[in-house]
Amino acid sequence: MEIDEGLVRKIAELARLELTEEEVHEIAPQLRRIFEHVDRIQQLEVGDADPATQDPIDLDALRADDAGETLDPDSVLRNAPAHDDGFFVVPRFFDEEVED
Amino acid sequence: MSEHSAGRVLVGMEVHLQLKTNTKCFSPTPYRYGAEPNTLIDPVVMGLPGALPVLNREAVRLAIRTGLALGCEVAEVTKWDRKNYFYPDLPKGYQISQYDQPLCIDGAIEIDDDDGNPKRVRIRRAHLEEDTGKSTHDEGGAASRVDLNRAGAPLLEIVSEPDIASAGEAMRYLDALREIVAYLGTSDGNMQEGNLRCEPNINVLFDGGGKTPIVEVKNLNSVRNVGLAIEYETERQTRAYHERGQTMENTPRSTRGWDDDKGVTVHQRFKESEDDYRYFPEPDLPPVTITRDFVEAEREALPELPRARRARYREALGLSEYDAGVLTAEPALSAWYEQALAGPEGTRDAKAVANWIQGELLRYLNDQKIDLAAVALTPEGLGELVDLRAAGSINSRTAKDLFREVIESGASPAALVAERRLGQVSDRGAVEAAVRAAMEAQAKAVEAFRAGNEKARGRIFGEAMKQLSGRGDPQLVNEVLSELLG
Amino acid sequence: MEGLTNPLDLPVAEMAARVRNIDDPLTASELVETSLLRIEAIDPALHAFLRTTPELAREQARVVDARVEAGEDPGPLAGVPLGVKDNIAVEGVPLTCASKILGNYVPPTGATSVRRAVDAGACIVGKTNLDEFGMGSSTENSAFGPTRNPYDLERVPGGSSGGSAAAVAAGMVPLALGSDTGGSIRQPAALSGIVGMKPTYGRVSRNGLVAFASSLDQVGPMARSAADARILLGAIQGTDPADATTRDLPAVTGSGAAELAGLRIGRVEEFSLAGVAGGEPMEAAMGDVHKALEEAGAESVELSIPLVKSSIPIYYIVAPAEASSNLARYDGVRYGHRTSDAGALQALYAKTRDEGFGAEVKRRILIGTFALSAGYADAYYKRAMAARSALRRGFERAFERCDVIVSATTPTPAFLLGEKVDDPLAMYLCDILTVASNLAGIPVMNVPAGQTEDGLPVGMQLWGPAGSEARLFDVAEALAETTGHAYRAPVIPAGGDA
Repeated sequence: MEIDEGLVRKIAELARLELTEEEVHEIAPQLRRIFEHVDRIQQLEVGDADPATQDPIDLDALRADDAGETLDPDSVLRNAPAHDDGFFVVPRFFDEEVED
Repeated sequence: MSEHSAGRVLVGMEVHLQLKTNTKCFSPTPYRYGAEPNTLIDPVVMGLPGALPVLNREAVRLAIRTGLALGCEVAEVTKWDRKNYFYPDLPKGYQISQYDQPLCIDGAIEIDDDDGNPKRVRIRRAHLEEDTGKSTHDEGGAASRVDLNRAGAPLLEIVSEPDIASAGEAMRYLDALREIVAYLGTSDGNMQEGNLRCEPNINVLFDGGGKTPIVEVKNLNSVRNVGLAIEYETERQTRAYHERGQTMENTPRSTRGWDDDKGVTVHQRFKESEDDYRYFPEPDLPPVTITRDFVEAEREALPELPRARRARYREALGLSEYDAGVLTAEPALSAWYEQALAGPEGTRDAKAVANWIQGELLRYLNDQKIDLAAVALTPEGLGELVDLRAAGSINSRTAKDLFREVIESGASPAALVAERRLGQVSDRGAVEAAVRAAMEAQAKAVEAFRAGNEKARGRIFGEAMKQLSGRGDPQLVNEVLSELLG
Repeated sequence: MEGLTNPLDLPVAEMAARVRNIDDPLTASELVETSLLRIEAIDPALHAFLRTTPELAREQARVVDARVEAGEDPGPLAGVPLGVKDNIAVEGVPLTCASKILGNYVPPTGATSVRRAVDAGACIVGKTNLDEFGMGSSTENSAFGPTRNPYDLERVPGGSSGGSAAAVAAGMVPLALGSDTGGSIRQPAALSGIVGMKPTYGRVSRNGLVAFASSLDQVGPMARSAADARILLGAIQGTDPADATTRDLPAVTGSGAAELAGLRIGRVEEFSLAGVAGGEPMEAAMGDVHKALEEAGAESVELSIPLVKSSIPIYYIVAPAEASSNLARYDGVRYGHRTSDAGALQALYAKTRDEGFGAEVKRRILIGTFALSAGYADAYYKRAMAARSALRRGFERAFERCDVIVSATTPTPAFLLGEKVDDPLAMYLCDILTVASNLAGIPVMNVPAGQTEDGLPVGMQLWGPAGSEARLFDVAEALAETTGHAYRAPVIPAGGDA
């Protein structure tokens, strides 16, 4: 599979990274080399190994539904790039713009 | 409807149901509707660097309880996945959800179709996930505001098959679901406060196989609006099909928003291809084993559900459709009725208990503008009253007086009757004495009666009852009166 | 000699014992001041620390000293100055991950590992440098400039925990916390001549460790000796209600050396460096170690785990995939850097992230996003995860035949600054000997294995099955006694010793 600049731009958009043309130009061949190496796994005999990395735990081991401490709103908003009246503020967007 | 040939509307429903836990799905912070912005948050909700989700057991239990009530199978092992997308009210840049091993699959909700016949709407899956925060937008301004209070609240996403065939069915489906979760106590199911949100997927099928493209409608905040949106879409899609030849083949799926003021749906965007959410297993949460013992214990603990209860009231208790409906409309009232029915010697007269509730109790609640929880009278109290009447121990007037007293005080009617000796006087000697005394006191009336004035008899009867402090067995008093008057 | 030893250079057990002894004049405060003075003197040449935290350290030292005076026991790390890698949160201290994207972010709560170390008496003197978000093998990917190797200032200290490694190697702190996703504790420990352990996945809480690749990340100790590292790991280990992936494992306690006679030492064919350019000194050192082990009566077991050869491709899919998701939260909305050039929301995201992340982080986000994207996830992410499971089973089978696997840690000694920065794949291949343990979730430690002719440290790894850290420490101590390989203080041209 060929990683070209178009694909790099598409992935960058999905990852919300605004790459300059120079960056795209530089990264495309790097990714191509990396994936040439990584593509070795296509030849592996891995059978139908279970891809889960962790063993399941019992329901009993889960957290009990007891309230703990909340964060002080001031300590949270102090780290915010922009806030007003208790809300985080971002440029006006429309719900349809980036609908989930 | 337009004059075009009508098709068949098909609706699949996606419902997001907020589960009634004390704390959020993955962190120990409570969620309340209407709290000050960004006051119900913690490092996990905020997506702070280094914060890790820890799954709430109760969220899983409530999801399983709901799934079981919907007839679903519960997975033996379930896991969580990350659904990756960027949105200002999604703090981590991914939502913790369930992708390929949902907690519950293959259930159904039974509703009535438009002809009143029972119909099953199949549930494809029900999975647990976290809610997002909420954004508000300055009207015409340059900013949007984000409140993360709701972020992380536990949601059960319930996805139906496209089995719903009309606006009416869709509305009854939602009503049935709301009623079920109210009985289960797993969710408030309140659409205004957003703890039940639904997105119908709508399209229309025509004879000959033509299909309109599927439209998902958002921003619906009442059952009524869901019905209106489906009616609107049915007509709009039918017109687009006939007038512009719009079909599933030539037009992509789209999302439309409901405009409440105008009563129309508005195009938002096309879904060109499936969105690329890059799902993968959530590495911060181990999968969870749900034992069959746990599932069976939860199944055992399920209450009788409202539709089954109504059927039983009609068939086993002989209540009318209407009465059964009134008595099961609210889980609290229904539970109250069930408790009042259960007497020491088996089930009480269902109709008698139902009459007291529908007549006296509901009228009282209505007059006082209070709800059932605020009433002092207990279901056992009403049961005693019904028993006293049934045994003929008190007459109906005493019963009504007593009701008015105990609904305020909560006292036991049986105890009051014993204490105040309000019991009905059925002793023949006592009744005779009272009737004689009454005839003496109302000598004129006796004369008048004997002279043929039938109405005068009532005055003597009343006097006799007065002599008995209103407790006389009216039948016996009448009998004795007839004898003595000759 | 004894009297001349600076207390900061004592073994940790002895240092803490003296602080805990009310009759000994050594105090936590004195240790903290000595550490801060050394940092002031030496660190300008190394840049191991991104910031020092003198007020916090002094306050923690006062608490320790007051507890000793009150007759209480402040714990096994009493007064021991600790460096903390700057991807591990300390409450109230700015957290950077050596990235610009975090801006002036100050965490409102601290990491469980840090809290436990402090509860055991440690005093935090500063936050150490790293490759941005732990992504790198040289600490050159720090947004705030590289750290230098104390044994040769022209060379890298390894990475990503290069700041912690250099700080310990240079004697500025006796202990430091690092994190290891694909070798980030062991590789810098090897290149800097110290001990570093990546514990079993789930032994140490990740709460407060900024996630790089959640299923691979572990916090671990970096120290001058196995005995010192054991004490720090003993203090920070254990299940944590705030991290669902922590597991109940046999506790690391006590001290002592293992009996080497009869120990089955695994030699894995795929870890051989024969024919690797620059790998000769490592092969030679490994040969010496295996010979010493055999002379001590250990049994040598030849093994093959073929999937080890594929561990780099597996790792460089799984780790970036998780990273691409973990780093999505840095969006300029709630905390951290936000571009000043945002018109619409999409520009706010894309520009904030472009400005905030360095080249290597962007590269890994792109690799991971691609590996998870529709149409490619089956060929890359899912396949890599299946191979990972098979690799884990390969190690399980290997440990049926041996007790400990011994291998080199790095293919070459410390390389020159700038030598590999323009060749990401060459940099990734440095991790060939380390990533398999993260994929398998098993504990592995680096211990010193001598020096090259140029005086550069050589490290080797001891691998054990899940939960076997105590055994690994025992073996490390016995091995150090047998071979005589131990930490040796560097001579740092720019600095005088305090």
